[in-house]
Amino acid sequence: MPAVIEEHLIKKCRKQDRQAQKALYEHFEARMFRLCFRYLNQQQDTEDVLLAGFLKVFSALDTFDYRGPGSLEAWISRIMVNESLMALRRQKRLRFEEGGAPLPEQASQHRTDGPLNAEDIYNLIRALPDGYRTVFNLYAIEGYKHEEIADQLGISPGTSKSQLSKARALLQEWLSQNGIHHENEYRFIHKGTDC
Amino acid sequence: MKTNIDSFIKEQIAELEGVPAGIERNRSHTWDRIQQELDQKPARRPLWGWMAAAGLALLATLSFLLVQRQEPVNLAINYSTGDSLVVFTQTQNPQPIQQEQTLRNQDQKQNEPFLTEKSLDRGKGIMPQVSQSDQSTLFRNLKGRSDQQYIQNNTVGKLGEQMHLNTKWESSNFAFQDQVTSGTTLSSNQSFSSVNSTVSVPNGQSGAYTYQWSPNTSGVILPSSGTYQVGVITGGTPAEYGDLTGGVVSMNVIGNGVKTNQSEPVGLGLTTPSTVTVDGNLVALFSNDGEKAKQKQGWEDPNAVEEYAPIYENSFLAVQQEPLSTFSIDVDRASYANMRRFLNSNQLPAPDVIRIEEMVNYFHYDYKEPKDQHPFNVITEVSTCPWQPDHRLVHIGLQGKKIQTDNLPATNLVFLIDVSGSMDSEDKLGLLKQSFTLLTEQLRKQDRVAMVVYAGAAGVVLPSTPGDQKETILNALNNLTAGGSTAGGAGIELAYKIAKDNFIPGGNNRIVLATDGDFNVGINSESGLEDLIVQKRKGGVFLSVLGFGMGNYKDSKMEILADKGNGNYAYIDGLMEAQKTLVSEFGGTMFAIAKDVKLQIEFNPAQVKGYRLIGYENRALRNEDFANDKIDAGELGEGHTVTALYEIIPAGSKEEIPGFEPLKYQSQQNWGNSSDEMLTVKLRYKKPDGEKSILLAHELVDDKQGIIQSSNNFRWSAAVASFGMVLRGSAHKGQSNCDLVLKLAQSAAGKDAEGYRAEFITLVQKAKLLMELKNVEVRDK
Repeated sequence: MPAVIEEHLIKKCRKQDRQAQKALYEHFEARMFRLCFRYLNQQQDTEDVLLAGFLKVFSALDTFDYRGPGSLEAWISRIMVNESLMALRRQKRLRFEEGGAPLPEQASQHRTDGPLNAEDIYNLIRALPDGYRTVFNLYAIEGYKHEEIADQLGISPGTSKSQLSKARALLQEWLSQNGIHHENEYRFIHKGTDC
Repeated sequence: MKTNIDSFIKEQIAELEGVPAGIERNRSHTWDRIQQELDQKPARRPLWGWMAAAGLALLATLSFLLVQRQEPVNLAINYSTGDSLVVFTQTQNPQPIQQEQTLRNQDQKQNEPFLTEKSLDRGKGIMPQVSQSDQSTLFRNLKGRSDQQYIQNNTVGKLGEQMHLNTKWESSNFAFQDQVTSGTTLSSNQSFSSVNSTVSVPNGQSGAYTYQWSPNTSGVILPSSGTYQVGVITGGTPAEYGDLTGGVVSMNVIGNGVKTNQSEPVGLGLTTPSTVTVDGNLVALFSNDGEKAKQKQGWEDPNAVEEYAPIYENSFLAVQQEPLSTFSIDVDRASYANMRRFLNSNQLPAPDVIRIEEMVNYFHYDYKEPKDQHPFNVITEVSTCPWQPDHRLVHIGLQGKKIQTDNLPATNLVFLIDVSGSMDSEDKLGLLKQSFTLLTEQLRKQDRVAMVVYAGAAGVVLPSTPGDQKETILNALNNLTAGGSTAGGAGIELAYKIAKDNFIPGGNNRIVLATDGDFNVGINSESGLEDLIVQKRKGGVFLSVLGFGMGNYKDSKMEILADKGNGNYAYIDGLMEAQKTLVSEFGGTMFAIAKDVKLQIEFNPAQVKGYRLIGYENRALRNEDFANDKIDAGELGEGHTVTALYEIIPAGSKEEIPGFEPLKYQSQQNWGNSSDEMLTVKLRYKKPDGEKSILLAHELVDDKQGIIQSSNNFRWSAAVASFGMVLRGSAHKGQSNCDLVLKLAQSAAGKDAEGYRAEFITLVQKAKLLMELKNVEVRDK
C-alpha cells in the first residue's frame, strides 16, 4: 500500500471513520488470519483473536507512529501475535514440559501425494504440538530472540531453545517423509513463476 | 543462528496469500462483529485528550490558513462497492513555465474542428442552447437536409460533470443511434460546457436528438499550483468483473482552457500513486468508468475503445456431482489473430481477448479422415497434463470430411461490406478489398455473388452475378469508398433479402459480413439484431463474419452475430490471414458439412474425480439441451478440425474440488462401474439442410501414456492452451509459463508446411520478452 494511502487511511481511522476502518480491515485481514491461524490452529479461535486484535488496532492507532511503508503491517502483526499468545495462555494450551510433550498424531497423515507446496508446509507448522509451534513461530517466522520469547511466555531461554530444536527435528522428519531429505534439496522445490 | 530449515520454511510460507487451504470463512462476518463492538464503544478520550483535541483544532485552523494547500482533497467513497478514492497530496512547487506553453497548444488544437470554415460551408445548423434542466427529448425535424448538421450545446452543469449527447435519427426505413459525444464542465463559478458533434443525416430522412447528463466523472478543485502525488484507493469488491481499478482509468487535470496533464493510476487494489502537475485554479478529473478500466488492464492504447466480452473461466467440477459436460463446437479462430495483432504491436493482450478454444482451433491437426457414413471422425487421446503433472489431459478432436473443390455445391454469396467512416483506413477497407479479391478468385461459374454496402444507408452495389464474371465483381469491389455513419441493421436485412431472392436449393447460401463491428443497429437494439438473424437463419442462409481493423474493434458483437447466424467468425489482421481463411481454408470457411454440432462427455467416476473443460466458456450448453434439436449450436466446415481439451483430476486423488461437498449416500465405491473407460464422448450433429440430429458415441480408456509417448497433435494443443492460460493469467495455469509452452511447442511442431506453428513459437518468445519487460517496469515502480 503506498505511503500516501496508508497515512490517509490511518488519519481517517483515527477519526473513527467506519469505512476507512473497514478498508484497513479488508486490506490486512487475510494476512492476519493466516498469521493467527499459524499460532492457534483452530478457526473459531482465530476469528476471535482477529476480532480482539483489530479492536486493539483501532483503539491504539492514536499511539502508532507511522514510519513509512511496511511499518503499519509490522505493527498490526505484533498486536496479532500478542493477542494469539494471550489466547493460547488463556486456554492453557501453553505447556512446556521438558522432554515430556505429547507427540503429535501420526506424521504420515501429513504426507501428500504430489510434491510439497507452500500450503503443505504451512500445514506442517500447524501440525506441531502447541508448545513447539509457538516457539517455532516466534523464533523462525517472527524473528524473536530466545530471551524475548522466554520473557513473553514466562519460561527460561533454555526451554525456548529445547522446544525450538524439537520443533525443527519434527519438521525435518516430516519433510523427509515427503522426499525432502537434506537441506541441500530445499532449493530444488519447484516454484512456479511466470516466464 | 538460524538454520536452513527455518529460513526455508519462512520463505515458503511468505508467499502464501488468502485463506488457508481447506478453510472456509466469511470475512465480512468478523467485520460485522468488529463493527458491532466499535458501535457499542464510542471512542472515549480522557480529559487531557479533549484538551489536546481542542488545542489541535486551534492548530488545525491556523495551519489551514497557513498551509491549507497541503491538505489532501477527499471525496466521498463507498469502499465496498468498488468506488475509488483519489487523494491528492502536494509534493513539489510549480513546474517551470516552459511546460505551460506546450500544453496550451494542445488545448487549442482540441477546439479546432468546431470552427473550421469547411464545416460551415456544408449546411451547418446550430441547435438552440439548452440548460441542464431541459432533460426531455428535443425533437427537431431535419427532413430534407441532405448534409451534415452541427450541434452545439452551451450548458450549465456541476463542476466536473460530463455531458453526453446522444443523437438519434429516425426514418421510415430504420432508426439508429448516432455517435455519443461528451463535454465536461470545467469551472465552478461560470459553468460552461461546450459539446460539439457532427452528424450526417441521410438524404430525405428526419431525425431527433436527445441529450443527457451522466455524472460518471468526478472532479475536484485543487487548492493551489504545484505537483501533486495522486493515490487511488479502490473499494473491496470490484464493481464489475475484470475491473480491478475501482473504475479509475485516467486522471485529467484541466484548467480553464489552459492545460492538460494526464496520468494513469491504474493497478490492482490499492494503486500506485502517480504525479500530476497543475497550475492555479484548476480542476482535476478522474473518470470512473468500469468498462474502460477493464480495457486498461490489457495495457492497450488509452484512447482505444475496443470491446471484449468478459470470460469467466470454467473451473473444476466433481464427477459425482456433474457427471456430464455439454458444449457446442466452436470453429472460430478470431481470438488467435487478434492476439497476434496485439503481440506484433508489442502489447500484451487484455485477458478477455483470449478465448483459448479459438487459439487451439486456429491450428490444423493431423487427424484421420472419416471413412464411414458420418461427415467427420472423432479422435481422442489422453496423457499427462504438462502444467499439472498429477492431472491427466484429455484431447478430443473432430475431423471434417474433405471435399474436392469441383464437388463443392454451388454457392450463393452476398458480400455485406461496412463502408462507414470508421472503415476508412488501409488496414480496414484496404485489406478488405484485397481479401475479397482473393475470395473472388476462388469462385466458379456456377457460383453467384452480390455485394451490399452499408454506411449512412444500405445499398446494392453489385446485383447477384455469376462467379466467372470476375471483372464485374472486382470493379464493384474497387469502387468502394468509406464515409458516413453506419446502418448495419438495414444492411443485414437487405443482404438476407438478396440471398433469399437468389437462393440455390441444396447449395451453399451465405452472407459474408465484413466490418469492424462498430455499427449502430437499425433494428433499435443489439438484441433486435440478434432476433433478426435468428429468424433469418431458419431460411437456410449461413453467415460468415470477417473482422477488420483495430482501435474501435467490437469483438463481442461480432462473435454473437456469427454465433446466432449459423456461421463462423474470423479476424483478418493481415493479408496472410486473409489467404489462410479465404483461400487455403476456403471450404472450411464457406461450406458447412454439419450444423448444430454438440458434444456431451460422460465421465466415469471410477476413473475420474473431477474435470475442467479448457475454454469454450461461451459455448456451454445445458445437459438437457444436448438431445433437444431446437437448440442451436456450432457448424463444422469442409475439412475443418475442432479440438477440445479436458483437464482431469484422476479418481483417488486427494485434491479437493472447490465447491464440492462429498455426498453422504454416494460413496465412491458404489459409483460407476468397474469399467476401464475414462469417459464416453457423445456427439450430435445435423446435416446442413437437416432438421433431425444424428448421434455418435466414442469411448476412451486411459492407457496411462506419458507425455513423451503422446502425439504431436496432443502436445501442440496443450502448448497452445497453456499459452492461452499464461496470457489470461488463469487461476488454473499450474506450472504453465512461456518456457513450458516453448518446450512443448518445439517438440510438436511437426511438418508445419505453412509456417503457422513456427509463427506461434515466435509469438510465444515475443510474449515472454514483453512479460519480462513488464516485470522490470513493475519492479522499478
